[in-house]
Amino acid sequence: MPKDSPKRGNSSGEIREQYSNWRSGLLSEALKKQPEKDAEVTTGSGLPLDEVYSPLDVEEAGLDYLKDINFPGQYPFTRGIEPLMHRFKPWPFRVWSGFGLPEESNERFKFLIKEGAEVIYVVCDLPSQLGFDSDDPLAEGEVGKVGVSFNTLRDWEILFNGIPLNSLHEVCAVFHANCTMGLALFLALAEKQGVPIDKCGVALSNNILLEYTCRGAYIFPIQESMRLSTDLIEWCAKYLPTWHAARMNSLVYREGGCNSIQEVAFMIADAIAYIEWTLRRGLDIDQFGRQFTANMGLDCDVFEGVAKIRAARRVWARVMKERFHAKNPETMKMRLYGAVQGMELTKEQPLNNLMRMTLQVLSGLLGGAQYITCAAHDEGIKIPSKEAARLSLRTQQVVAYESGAASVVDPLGGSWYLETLTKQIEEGVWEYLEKIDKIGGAIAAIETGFYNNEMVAASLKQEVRSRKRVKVGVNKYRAEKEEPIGLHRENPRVRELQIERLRQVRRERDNRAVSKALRAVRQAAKGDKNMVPSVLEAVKELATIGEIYSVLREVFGEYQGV
Amino acid sequence: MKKTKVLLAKVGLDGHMHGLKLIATGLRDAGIEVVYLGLRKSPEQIVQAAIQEDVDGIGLSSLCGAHMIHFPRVIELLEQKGVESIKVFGGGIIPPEDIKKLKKMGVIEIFVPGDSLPEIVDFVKKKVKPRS
Repeated sequence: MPKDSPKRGNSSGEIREQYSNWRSGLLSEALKKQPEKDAEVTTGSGLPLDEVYSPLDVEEAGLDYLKDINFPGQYPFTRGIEPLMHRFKPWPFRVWSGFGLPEESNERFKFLIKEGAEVIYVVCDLPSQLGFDSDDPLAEGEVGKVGVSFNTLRDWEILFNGIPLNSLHEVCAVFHANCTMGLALFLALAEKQGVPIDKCGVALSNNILLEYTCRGAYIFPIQESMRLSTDLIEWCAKYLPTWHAARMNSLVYREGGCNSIQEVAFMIADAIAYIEWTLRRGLDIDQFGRQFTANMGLDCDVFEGVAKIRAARRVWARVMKERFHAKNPETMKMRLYGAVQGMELTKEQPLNNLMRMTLQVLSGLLGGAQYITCAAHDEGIKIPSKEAARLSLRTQQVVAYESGAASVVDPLGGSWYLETLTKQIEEGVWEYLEKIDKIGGAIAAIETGFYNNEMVAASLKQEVRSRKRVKVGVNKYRAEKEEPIGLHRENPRVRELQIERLRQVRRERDNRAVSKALRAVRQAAKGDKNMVPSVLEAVKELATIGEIYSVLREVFGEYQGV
Repeated sequence: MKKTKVLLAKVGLDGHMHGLKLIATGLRDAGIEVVYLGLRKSPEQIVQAAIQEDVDGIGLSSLCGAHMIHFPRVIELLEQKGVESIKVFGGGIIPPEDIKKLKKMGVIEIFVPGDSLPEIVDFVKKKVKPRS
């Protein structure tokens, strides 16, 4: 902080007068000469923008520094959840990886760790996300395709062979519909590796609602899915306090066409639903609230990206404190994973994506993300190649160490534009939360089609806007002929090899113990006990994902959605 | 004049539904009748529904790399059932070499990220006509 406080020379009356002179004089002259003066200028997600912002906007927004902004680490955490943020140490570099056979992904993980990755986020293939074994007829053509294939704990051991869980800063995996098995796999793996589970950072994604609204990888009806998700939150609160139990997500809404107000609102409405379900188990908000995290997409529109993150942090803190009466400030802090948005990247001139990734990572740093995940520039075409994966890590490292943006906490704070936009997003979010409350909360908003209708309407607008906006290499500066880049080569034998291994596991394991464990899973599902212990037992006995989830499908039924 | 009728479905396990819903809306707004079959449909279910609903075209979506298994299977089943006059188009994250192969097999067009909604709607209006 400077030793002398800055002089506040002008009264707002003086500024207002000057502003109106400027508008009618200089600005209107300039507009007259501007042939495109009627073109709509908006943020990346479509919020309208003024030509310039001044102290008047901040005054009109009614912003109170201590109440609304405050210092980093202090409620409502607008400027960040920690006092120092990344001043002395960059965020743990997080990579999103997984494809083919467990051993192929294991090799990639080791390569990325060698190159500086500290958090591995395992991407699983669709059969496993949906609870099917590799030999299920429905898995044809999908095994190891968009993520790594696994059927049993044995695959998970191969995946982390030579990577003790406690050697990573944190480990995550895409587990939503199959989240119970996901938690069990990590517990069983830690035991196998002989590492103390309370020394491992594990982050569960465990956010089934987004499957109904955006990704479509659901299995069970919503109520049963919510029960499974809540089981995990409860289990983590009681026995795994260092884990992250559920990750709320705004990125999926943004990619579904939402603007930054809607994406934040829907993410927080989802969080409210999970919190209410968990409170009904008799837990106190301060027992589990800090184990929630947020995943937000980062933006090429750096200012909007930073504003939406700051707005989300403020609303999150206020919801925790005012709505749920949290007392512990730790509960009120939104722990943020920033992730490069695939929708900003293009398949045309894929190397251009490196620049887009740089902007997005910078917006994550300036916004105060705890973790950042960078996509790869060739993702629009294929699973990232080794070189592309390394470059995505390097993008983070260059921004972290060379941009200087980490030296000062919330360096954009106080910008009239940024503070006004933050406030504008925050107010929009509160309006949406009120609407969703009136419908009856997030689950009712899904069931009545509210989310869906909002997203279809928003994507239609976005589609029109995206045709007007310049996308470099796509609708301007197009290449006559695209230069080929080196792409990832798929192993064509993944399914065959996984089926072979699956059969071997079925031969070698104690099949009577498996049947017994699966009966226990069925019993637990029929009752109202927490599902974690029975699924954990089945996982340890090498029951396959298909076996466990077909038992649950029989008990719970399947979601008949759109 | 008879309205063109198109069936849209996601084939395989991929659940990314936004794009297809958007296309459904765009086609409806352009006066085309749309049967939206939804997620995780097998080629068999799709072809059966297409025959039952007597559609003129089928739009398949797969963003997760299973297109080379499922799209040709739809074409094959249509031929088997003697309804190859139903035109098949598709979209997804589909590499150029696969697009070539699929077109050779009879898929009339493949759309990829970056193609605009009006382009897709125009294409369907021009190339998919009532069959009888």
